[in-house]
Amino acid sequence: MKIYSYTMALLYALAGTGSILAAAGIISFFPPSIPLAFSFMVISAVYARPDMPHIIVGTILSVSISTIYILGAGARLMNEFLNEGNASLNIEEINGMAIALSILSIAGMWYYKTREVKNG
Amino acid sequence: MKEIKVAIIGNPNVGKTTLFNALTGEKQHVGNWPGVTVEKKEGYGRYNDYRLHYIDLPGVYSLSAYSIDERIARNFILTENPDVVIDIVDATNLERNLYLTLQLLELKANVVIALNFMDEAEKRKMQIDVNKLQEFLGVRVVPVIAREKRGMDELKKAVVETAEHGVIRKIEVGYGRDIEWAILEIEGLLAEERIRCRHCPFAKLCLGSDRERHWVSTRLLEGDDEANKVVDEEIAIKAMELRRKLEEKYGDMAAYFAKKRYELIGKIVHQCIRGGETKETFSDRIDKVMLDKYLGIPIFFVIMWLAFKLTFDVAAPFTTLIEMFFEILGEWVKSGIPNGMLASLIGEGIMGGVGAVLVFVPNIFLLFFILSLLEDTGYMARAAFVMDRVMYKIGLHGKAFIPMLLGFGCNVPAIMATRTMEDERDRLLTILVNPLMSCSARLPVYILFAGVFFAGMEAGVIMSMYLLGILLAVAMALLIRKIFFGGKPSPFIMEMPPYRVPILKNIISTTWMRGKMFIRKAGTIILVGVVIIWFLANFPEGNIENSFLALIGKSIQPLFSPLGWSWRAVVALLAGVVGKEIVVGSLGTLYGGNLSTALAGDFTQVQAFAYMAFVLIYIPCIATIAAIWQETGSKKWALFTIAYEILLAYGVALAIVLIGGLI
Repeated sequence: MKIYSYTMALLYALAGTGSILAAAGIISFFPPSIPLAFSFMVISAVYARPDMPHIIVGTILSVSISTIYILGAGARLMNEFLNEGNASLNIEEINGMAIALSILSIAGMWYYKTREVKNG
Repeated sequence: MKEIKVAIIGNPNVGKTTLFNALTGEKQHVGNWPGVTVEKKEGYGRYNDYRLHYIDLPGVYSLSAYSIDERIARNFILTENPDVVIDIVDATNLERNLYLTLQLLELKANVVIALNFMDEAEKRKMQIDVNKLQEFLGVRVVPVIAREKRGMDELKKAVVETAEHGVIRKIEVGYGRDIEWAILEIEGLLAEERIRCRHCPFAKLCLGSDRERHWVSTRLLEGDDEANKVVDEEIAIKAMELRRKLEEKYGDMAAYFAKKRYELIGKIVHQCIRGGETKETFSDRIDKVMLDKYLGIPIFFVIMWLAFKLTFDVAAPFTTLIEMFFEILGEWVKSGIPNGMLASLIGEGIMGGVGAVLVFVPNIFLLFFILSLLEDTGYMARAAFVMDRVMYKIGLHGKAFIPMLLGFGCNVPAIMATRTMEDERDRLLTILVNPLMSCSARLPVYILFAGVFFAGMEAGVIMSMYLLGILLAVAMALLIRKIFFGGKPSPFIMEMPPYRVPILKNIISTTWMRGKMFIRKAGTIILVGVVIIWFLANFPEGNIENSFLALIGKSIQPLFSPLGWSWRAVVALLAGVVGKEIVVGSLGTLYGGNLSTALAGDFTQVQAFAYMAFVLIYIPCIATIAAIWQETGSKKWALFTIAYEILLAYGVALAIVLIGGLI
């Protein structure tokens, strides 16, 4: 669990740093958003404590972020279609990184939760 | 058909309103946090040949009357004399809940216990011997699961039986020989007393039977100020002397009475409950993170940002659809009505104004949906808890956070929710700073301006308005406490409700109840507002630049010239005093055509941000002013709020313009 937690903490810290650098215009492949960067940093801090409650909360926050990005991208697509008659989407808008991280979060939580139940 | 008056009482957050809704079919707001009900609510139901008249009372831990909601509950039971009192008890927390039950029994009320959350008790492997509990307490005990409407018929049956035949048997809490003697002595004096004020809550008791006098005597010995106020001075002095004597032997009397009640509760719980998990519950484990000293507040900010992001991003297509609808309707009206003036009134005035506000309905509903979801899961109570540390440091009571959060919806019920606060100074302070919490009426202004001037950063900009409101409320609380009140807030004790899987029906019902107020306003106050604005903008010459409105706007505008706003923007602010929603409606009528394009040409980015801040802070709407007046009982405080908010709004907007100009 320790290795998994610290890895997730590191990945989120990297994602947070990437978002800050993107907001500053230094790099372009991360979504440029300060609140998103802050959220990633908070999740990183949550994962930095390797126990099940922290993993659960980290996963909930992680999944919430990716869900909101997916819903937001869907809504934007619909809005564009309503206004212009056609619509296109790029991966940056869906925030593929947040989705990948949330999938990892779910996988980790599922794995450790199952072990916890097995071990009583 | 015989009518039975049934009061529903219980500790905060034990499901009173859920039970009330299940029994009556009403749709009162339900929340998984304490303090949802601050006023009594009434509804009706039937059972066989009986009409059951239910009254939902505020949640109270005891009948001690420290706060307004406790007073409402106690006075109702004392003066209205309900035929039956349903005491809703949390099966997972009998020890705490039975304190109120014992007080009700001491009051000789016809109690029926609804043992709620039986499903959660089972989950925790608790076995509650309902028959034994019934035997101990001498009243009918009915296991229920209010959320699933289970046990409702059995509960109604018990209510009717209790109304017809009374409780099974009366029980007494034994306080010891010395105390019982003292109670008897006061009872004797009370029997001879003449009531000075027949309208007081205790009038019926003092005129009533020996049993009822017993309760007043007990309260006098416990040191209840309200009881002291209503008995003859001689009796109050005598009771005080007796109390002092007893305190020499037994210590503080209030603590002694509480100790004796808890001793009895302890015995009952020991006899009636078996099992129960001693290991941490899921809620306890999650709370380790959510209530963490360092992580709690950052997590709260993440959740709030996500709420605003969802509110802004997901609502966009629905907003577009409503916009399209009003555009088509406006064009149709303009082309279909031959009279140019009438066509302009309906097409530009009404459709433009009301339409400009109604396009934000999806955003408002989404925000309410998310807030209801957070309430229902139990997270809002955690938010109050984590913010308490900060609130206490700045001089606000932790309990103030709940009315402050409610202020995100509407400041009027938020101000009323301060009734749960015991300390009058804490309550007044919370009322005075509550209008700084950004209510939903201000959201359309933020969405409009953020969309036009801060594309791509909308959620962050909107959130910054909410944070600015919180920060200013904090700063004003500090200042007002220092100038007017002094001292520190009283300590805050709050029970954490367990995390629960939210029920979609509850969330939708709460969202609809809150959101429909906004739609109703669009059809009433906003409609009238935009019609007035249209008339003032089109008369006397039909040219807006020479209209009455321009005359008013241009005469006030110089005051706002340091902020760089046009007279149109200033007039919209004036109209917003009636209700903040009217600001956008007025802008729609005043600018006409494509509002976003018109605004982009009339404001700079900094001026737009300052305008948003001004709308957040300046003067509360009329309904909020009335609520402040009513709840403080003084127009002085209402006027004070108006004055400080105008000054503060101007100061903050000016600071934004000046600092923004330097950047």
